[in-house]
Amino acid sequence: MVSEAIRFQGLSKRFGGRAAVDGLTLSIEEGEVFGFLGPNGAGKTTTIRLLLGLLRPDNGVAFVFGDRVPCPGRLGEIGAMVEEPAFYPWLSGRRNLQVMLESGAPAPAGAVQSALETVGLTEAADRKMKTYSQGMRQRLGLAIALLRRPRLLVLDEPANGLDPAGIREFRDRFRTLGDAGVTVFISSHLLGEVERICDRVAIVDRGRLVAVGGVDELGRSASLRFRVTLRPQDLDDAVRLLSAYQVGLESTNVILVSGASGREVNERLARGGVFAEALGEERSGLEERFLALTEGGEGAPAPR
Amino acid sequence: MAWTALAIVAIVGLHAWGLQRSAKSTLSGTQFGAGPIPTCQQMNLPEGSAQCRQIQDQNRRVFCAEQNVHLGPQCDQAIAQAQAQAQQGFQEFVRQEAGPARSAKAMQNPLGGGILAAGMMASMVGAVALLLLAAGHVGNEWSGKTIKQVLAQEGRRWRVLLAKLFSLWLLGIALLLVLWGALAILAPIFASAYHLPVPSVSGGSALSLSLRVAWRALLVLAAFATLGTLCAVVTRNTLGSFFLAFAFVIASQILAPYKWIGRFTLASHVAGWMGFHSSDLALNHLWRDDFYPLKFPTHTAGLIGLAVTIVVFVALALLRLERSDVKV
Repeated sequence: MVSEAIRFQGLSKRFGGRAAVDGLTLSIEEGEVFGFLGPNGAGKTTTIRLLLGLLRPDNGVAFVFGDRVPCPGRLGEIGAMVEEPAFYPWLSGRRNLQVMLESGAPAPAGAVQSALETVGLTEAADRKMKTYSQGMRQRLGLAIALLRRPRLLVLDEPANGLDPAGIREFRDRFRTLGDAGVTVFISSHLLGEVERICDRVAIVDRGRLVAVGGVDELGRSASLRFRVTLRPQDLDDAVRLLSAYQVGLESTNVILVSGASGREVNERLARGGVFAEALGEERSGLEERFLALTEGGEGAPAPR
Repeated sequence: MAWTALAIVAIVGLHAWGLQRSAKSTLSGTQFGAGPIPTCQQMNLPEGSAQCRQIQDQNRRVFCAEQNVHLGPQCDQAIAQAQAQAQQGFQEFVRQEAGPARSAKAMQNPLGGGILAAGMMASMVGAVALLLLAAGHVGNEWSGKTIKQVLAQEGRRWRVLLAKLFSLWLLGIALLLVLWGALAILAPIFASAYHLPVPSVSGGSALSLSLRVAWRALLVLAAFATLGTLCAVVTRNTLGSFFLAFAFVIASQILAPYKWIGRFTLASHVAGWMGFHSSDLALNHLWRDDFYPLKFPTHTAGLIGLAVTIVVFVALALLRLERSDVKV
């Protein structure tokens, strides 16, 4: 039986007069790789801080593996990377990990070395952290999250500062962890990455949950349209023939048609004696859905 | 930490050197208990020697001439009075200077360095050191944003706070020991450079004196550590933490002699508990020790004051940390 890894129930947090998280209710099952999407200031980081007990909610509750947050006893089962990870710059990467290990619940023997190997930082482990690049810091942050081989991995914008190869490596790592039964909760605005690795996603905007569902499900429900390339002299006829649908002009020989199937577009044009040079499907996918739901993707400025 | 220790060793080392010089200069300019007719011993001459008697007779004639009395019973009476006054002056001198002299002499024994080390760590030097360390050790968790990482590992905030507090206290004790060690190294140098004409302090006695002061300093260090931790948790940044705590210490020094509030100040608790007015052994410190018109606080009052201070500061820090949101 699959149990809940995370549950938010009417969770709210205000900063000053503005709601950073507003009545969030959401459930994530154990073993899911879950994407938590939203524009800047949507309340993603605030939600993660509430989940980890770093912030106290004004209303509502959060549960981790059935325990109400704050649940210090559960932190040993949670690996977290909150926003940009911070370290003690005068210590080496290895020592930073040791300090974090000693700060909390016990970990398996060799946890530090294992975490360093997992994130590919073995060679730089004994260098002082202040000499690390942004990408290396991000890797060290992930190493801290992985120290205790967690059941739940909570990651806030984990791909920040990583190069494309690093992003791909992280993506594969999270997917592998998810396949191994670890629940992965990723907050991100890199929709392409989330789309590739997550089972389900939630989209938040201005602290409110605006959509939740499977990646395919959300993508499918996004608008489907067709790009029709014509000879310029056929353009007016084509617009007339397709007037029953939503037609937009992209250029002097390209129109975008929404609300019709490909067959309908093709048939109407052919009956009117207009033949398309090319007819292509454009599925707007998660990105379009995201932009539509969040009114352009950039929420109002908000404390993170 | 290493730089803090080095700076403190330098400051206290220089202070110790100054104390040796001061003791030497005070003692060498004084003839202990010498009245108008010094004894042969005071003149470093053999008892009953002709030279001694000759000088004593000469001094007697000069003294009686100055007093306008004839040699004989009248003169002997004047001399006796003068000798008594000199003896009284000597007692007063002993009361004022014997402490510093003994203290300086004790410092010439490697085991006696603990007296100065504890006196300094339980006063302004230790306060500044621990407040700085608290700012770095606790306040910097917010400035460096590492607090979120720490609290994501250990959610029981009281444990994090107590761990910080305890480690800070241990750092204070480590500084005291480092300081004592440095003074132990300096002790033979002081002994060879400054011959103080007071009885030597034995190793056992020096150790006993050092320990008597050092163990008292442990409670004061705990109070400084809790003050630093509380201010770090309240301000949640490095600089703010230090300046708030330092302002508190300075305010307590200023307010200490005031009638209604003076007896409740940290300055009063520390001075009372440490016995900074002690005259049998001058406990060198950099702290207020004059509470006029108030009476000097007792050891018991100091102990109670410090214990209450520690409990209240820890409770306030816990309350603040438990209720605060971690936004960094």
